[in-house]
Amino acid sequence: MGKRFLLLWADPRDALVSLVYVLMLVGGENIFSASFVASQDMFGNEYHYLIRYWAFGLPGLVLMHAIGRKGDYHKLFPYVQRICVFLIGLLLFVDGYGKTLKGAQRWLILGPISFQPSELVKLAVILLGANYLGRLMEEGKQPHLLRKDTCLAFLEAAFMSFLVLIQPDMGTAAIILALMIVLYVVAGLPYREIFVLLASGAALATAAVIQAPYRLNRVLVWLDPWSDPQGNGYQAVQSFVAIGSGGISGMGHGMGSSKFFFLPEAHTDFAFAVFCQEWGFLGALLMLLVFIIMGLALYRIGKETQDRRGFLLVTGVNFLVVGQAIANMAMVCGILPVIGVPLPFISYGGTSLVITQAAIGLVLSVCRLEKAGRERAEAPQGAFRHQAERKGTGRWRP
Amino acid sequence: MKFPKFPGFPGAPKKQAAKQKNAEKARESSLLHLDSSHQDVLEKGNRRVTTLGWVLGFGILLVVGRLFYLQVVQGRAMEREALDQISGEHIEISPRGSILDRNGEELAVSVVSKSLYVDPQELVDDPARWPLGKMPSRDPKKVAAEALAPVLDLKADELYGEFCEPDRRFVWVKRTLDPHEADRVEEILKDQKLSGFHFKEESKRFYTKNNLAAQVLGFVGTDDEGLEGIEASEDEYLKGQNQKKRSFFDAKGNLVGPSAMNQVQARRMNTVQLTIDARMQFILEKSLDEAIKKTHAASAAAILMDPNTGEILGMASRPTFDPNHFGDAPKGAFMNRGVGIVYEPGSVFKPIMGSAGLMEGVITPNTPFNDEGSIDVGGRRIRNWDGKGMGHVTFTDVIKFSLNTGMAALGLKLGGERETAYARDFGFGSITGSDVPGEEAGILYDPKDMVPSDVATMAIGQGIAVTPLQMLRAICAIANGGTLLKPYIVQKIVAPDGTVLKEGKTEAVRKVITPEVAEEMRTMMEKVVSEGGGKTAQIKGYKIAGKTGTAEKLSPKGGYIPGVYIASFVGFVPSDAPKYAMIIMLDSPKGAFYGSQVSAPIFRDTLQQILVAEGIQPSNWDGLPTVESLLSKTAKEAAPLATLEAGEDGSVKLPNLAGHSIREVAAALGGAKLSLIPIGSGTSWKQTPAPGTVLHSGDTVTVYFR
Repeated sequence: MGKRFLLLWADPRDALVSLVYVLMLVGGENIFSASFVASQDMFGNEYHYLIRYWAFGLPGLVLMHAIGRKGDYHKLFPYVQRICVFLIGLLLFVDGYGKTLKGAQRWLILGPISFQPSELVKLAVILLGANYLGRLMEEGKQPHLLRKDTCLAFLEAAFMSFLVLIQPDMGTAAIILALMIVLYVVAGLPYREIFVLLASGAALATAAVIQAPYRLNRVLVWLDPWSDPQGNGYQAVQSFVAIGSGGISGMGHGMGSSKFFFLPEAHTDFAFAVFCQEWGFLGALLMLLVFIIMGLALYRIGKETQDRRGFLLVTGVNFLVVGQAIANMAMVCGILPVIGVPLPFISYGGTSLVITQAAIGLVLSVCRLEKAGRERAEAPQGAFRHQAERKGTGRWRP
Repeated sequence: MKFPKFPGFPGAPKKQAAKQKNAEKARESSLLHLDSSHQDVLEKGNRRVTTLGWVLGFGILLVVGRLFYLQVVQGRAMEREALDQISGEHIEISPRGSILDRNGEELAVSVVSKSLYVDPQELVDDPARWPLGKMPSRDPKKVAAEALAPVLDLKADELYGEFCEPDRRFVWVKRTLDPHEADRVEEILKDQKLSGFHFKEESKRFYTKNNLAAQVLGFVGTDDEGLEGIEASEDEYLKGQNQKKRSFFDAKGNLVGPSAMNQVQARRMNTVQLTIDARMQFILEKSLDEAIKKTHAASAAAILMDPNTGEILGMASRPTFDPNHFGDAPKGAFMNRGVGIVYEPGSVFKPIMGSAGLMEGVITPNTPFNDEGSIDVGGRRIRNWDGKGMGHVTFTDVIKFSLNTGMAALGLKLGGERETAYARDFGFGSITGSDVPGEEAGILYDPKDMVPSDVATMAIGQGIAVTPLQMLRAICAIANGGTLLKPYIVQKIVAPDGTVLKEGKTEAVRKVITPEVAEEMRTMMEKVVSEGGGKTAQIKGYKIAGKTGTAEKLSPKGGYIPGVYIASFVGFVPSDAPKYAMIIMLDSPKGAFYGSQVSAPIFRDTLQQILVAEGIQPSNWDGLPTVESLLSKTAKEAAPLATLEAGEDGSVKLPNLAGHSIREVAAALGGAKLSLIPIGSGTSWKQTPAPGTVLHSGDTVTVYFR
């Protein structure tokens, strides 16, 4: 209380909100710069993506604040199971009838609105995990992946991940599974099982690579994209060229060359490469710093949350935003293979943007309810209340 | 407390300590029903998050390291790579320089136009160009063929066939599109999202006044090489440059940045300005058209020259052609007959020999002569045109009535040696040294080979061959008081920055006769028109000096072609202070063939229009039509578009120029010294700047024609 967060902000909640605004302003500008050439070609209007970004982003901000002010994340949990079943239905539908874009069926088109159910799944998985594992934590149970009373959420997430994988959308599938695993780990998954998980993942990947030569080729191209700069390595090489050509201080806003159809996905998954090209190493560090501070803020919020489900929710959102951001940056600069992971707020994608904002809104509601609970505990009686307040005892057992 | 299953986990000892502390705290808060296991759950969750945070932190480190490597270590190399892939060589066409008339009116201009080609392999639909789910299933080749064919005036099925040819990666769709065609095509390609089409810039030459001075200007071949006329002779100055320039291209190979069309202005080349006056040339061309119509002559030539400077003001030749479509030219149309044919001048040569006689003191204007109608020289009989004798006459009458007998006698007195020497001095037998391409030297006798009959016939302009330009230039020497000038047609060649690269200057070759002799000959030639054989050349109110000539045509096989004549007239006006000298030569007129019958009236009609147009005051107003009536006659030919006039400060308000020909627009703009960039051909329909814009002299107006 009264302790400022990183000097600049009154508390981590403030930091979170202000950084969302910062990222959206930067993201909108960067999307415009990355897309105006393609947008002009496709729609005859260079502002198309910028307008769409804010057309999603502004209602998204309203949604974020509404959830933060009025929403009660607890009220979502009873519906989590139904939401997940509904999403599984949607995924099955999309797999069957969805719109194919760039070889993958992941779009659902409802009149003028098209969205990716797989983006919704990311948030749903966090809610599912928070609810399921939060209850386990409250009961003092340690989750195990191989025990049938603690593995249900994992299996459900794995199934959804599978449905996304066959779209095929490996990146989103990986994110969905990873989010659930992270929640399991945080909820206390035994280290032995973590290692088994990592080992089996590695074994599976190795088997997959050995089994199909084209996958081996993909891996080799990932390790050295310059071996095939016009073919499979094109996307990665173009990304490196975009990032590298930014140098230390960048080419300047709007001045990057990669947007002229050189860098595919310049305004979506590879928006960070365009950002690096135009703002240079220093700009990239600043953006990284923003995500780091955001991560620290979410970390602090989680740490101060007594409610385990709220805590897991905040942690899940932390990985949804910051984890994805780092995964995206790692992908864009070639540390990870090219899988479709967006950079929150910076990559263009209406569904992803609104989902991320809703997720932040849920975090804000966790903050608000936590604070309210603390004040209620603090308010009327006894000296012990002070100690309780200091330790932040919860309303998690009302 | 199940947690520390891995004893080796680095956090373990701390955890033990923390656990104890937590236990204490938990005990303290037991009143809040917090048991130790709950507290432990809290702590453990946070520790796990912290650990995962370090994993992310490690990821961040990797990213920072990788960014440092790419941007700082490899930054320069990557920058070069980025620059390399966006740069490409682009052939920038600097259009061929313009040819202007003496007043700056454009006669030949080059316009950079776009040619459309396609790579059929690229002509496929790219989902990346379509909004999500909006990509139609269609045959883009079919769509392209059907959309483009009507705009380009081509057949859709033929176009489709070409698009579908396997293994072809380059197909010209259409070359040198009109700008509005190119605009439409660009629109269609954009609307229909058709890939694979590209434009290439190509230069196209426009002769704004079609066949005006066609043989003088010449024309340009497909590879921008001047093939005839000034285009050929000044090719080194006019030639456009195809500069390889580094430009930016997007990944689809399209030029990034402003359209090259808009840069044409900045890339102008040297300009060749001729001494030709387009208005006079126009009159000359029309006169020759009428002459051909009336006399059915096989060919014709006319030259208008300033006798004081040697500037060629107009030069026309028939048959003619339109250099815009030089492939359709009739046979022989490319020859500039003003300099390219040699013919026996006949009587128009008499003033030359007469001047020689006066110079040598062999005769005076009043020397008496007895004309018997014919004279025998060395076994050959030389007759007057009608074979009749005029009896006792003076030498003035010999010239006035073009008496062959008198001239033959004079020739004999002069002798072949002096005749030839004077002919050479007057510039015959060698090229004039003018910069008009395609000049012939003509033929003179070697005096040693001359028999007496040659000596006599040379004096009447037979047995020698001259070009019309040589003839006119010699007469100019008489007109200007005795100085033989070097004719010239290139006034100046100016570089884009205003530097004058080459300038035509009045150049005196030699003094041929004294001013007194010139004066005497001028008087005699004046009498030819006022009283003698050239009356048909009279223009009321003006003093004109001239000489008719009718010669049998030389056969290429030697000898004469019976019944075929070359009728010519040469003269200058006003005879007491000559401003214009002109020769007109008709080759093989049908029907009437005497110079006085066919050539002199054309001389008269032509010069009359020029004198009026140029505002040369008549010396005598009797019986003259009013200037206004003549002007309104020519005004009918001219456009209703008024010539612009700049205000005192040089500013002028631009009118709407739509609906006129290039010539009309150029003339209107020329009045205010505005320069015109015509794009396309036909009738004007669009202009920049817009009507009403205030411009200043020297500004450029782009007008689109279709």
